[in-house]
Amino acid sequence: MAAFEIIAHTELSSGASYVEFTSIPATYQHLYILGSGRSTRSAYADGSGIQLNGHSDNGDYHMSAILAWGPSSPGSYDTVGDTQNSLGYMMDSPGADAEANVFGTGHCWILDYTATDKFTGMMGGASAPGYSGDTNDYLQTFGHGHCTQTKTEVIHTVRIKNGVGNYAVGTAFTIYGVNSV
Amino acid sequence: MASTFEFITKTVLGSNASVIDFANVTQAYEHLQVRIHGKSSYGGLSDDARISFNRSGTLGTWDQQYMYGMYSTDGVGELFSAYGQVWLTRLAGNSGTSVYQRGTIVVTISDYANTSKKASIQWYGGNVSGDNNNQGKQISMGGASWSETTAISEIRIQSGSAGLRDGTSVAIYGMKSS
Repeated sequence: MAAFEIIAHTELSSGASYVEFTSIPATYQHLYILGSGRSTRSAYADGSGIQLNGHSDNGDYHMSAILAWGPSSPGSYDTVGDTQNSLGYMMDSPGADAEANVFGTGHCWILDYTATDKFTGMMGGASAPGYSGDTNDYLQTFGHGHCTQTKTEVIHTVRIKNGVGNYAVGTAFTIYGVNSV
Repeated sequence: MASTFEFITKTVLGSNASVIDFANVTQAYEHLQVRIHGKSSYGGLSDDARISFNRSGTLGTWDQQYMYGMYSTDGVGELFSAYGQVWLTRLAGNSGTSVYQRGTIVVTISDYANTSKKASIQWYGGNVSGDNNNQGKQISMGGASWSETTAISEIRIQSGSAGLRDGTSVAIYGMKSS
């Protein structure tokens, strides 16, 4: 049996505020999302993250991430502690002010997504570099995050939600199922 | 269902070499993953690994960002278009540390065959030996954007200040999306 199997793939032909995968089969051990994204936000970068089964209220997620926003101090890197508790914030994208044709690489693991005896754990990150020669914050961002969704549900829907702008045309994500037997 | 995470090719050095090159990389996948387990010929505890694309064609430049831990210190850094390679985390060096010591790096290259996107990569890795100093214990993760929209058909792995030691291995995997 293949260890990784494709569940679904979406590439946007028009802008959208999120990419969503529904009716995810409960036949795998883990889920893995990998893709490339760009935002229409008029800035150098935009935040984005994961919401599961339509849950989007504050307190639905506990989130911590290490972020690098450009090289300047003191904000050159930061730890975010539960300030984004309505989603798993870990998949930034370059914004509309970044160089043309630059897309970030974002990924997320969702472990034991069918278990109903534990909260759902997620781990992922993104890199969104994209402007030569300028060293202001947000011109390049890189992050790694971990998130716990405070539900004990089988995960059937995964939404990759952009921050301020829409995901731009060409943004593409694939969701894989990962077998354990 | 057919496998969607597939082995493409690997090189294990039987003797020291200046670089490891992969030519004619298939365009049949959505993403690539490169796994490096290596040692440099550099006469020190460690040396940075580097990756570059399409050496025989358009080399291009890189914008890159990373965060690192070096023994008891940490930090972030950016490099803008100064190099034709991305500086990854460290390989083991060839002096002052165990002959068995190796650095380990995983690099993900998203949508690498898409000529409407500049190639984007993300990596993490480290070389953590029993040597308690900045050169002996290093971990890092980061990302980079290439200046070109050319499809990636060649991949080069090298060490920053010297060649690669025998036994260094590099494997490439492909991930499909349909």
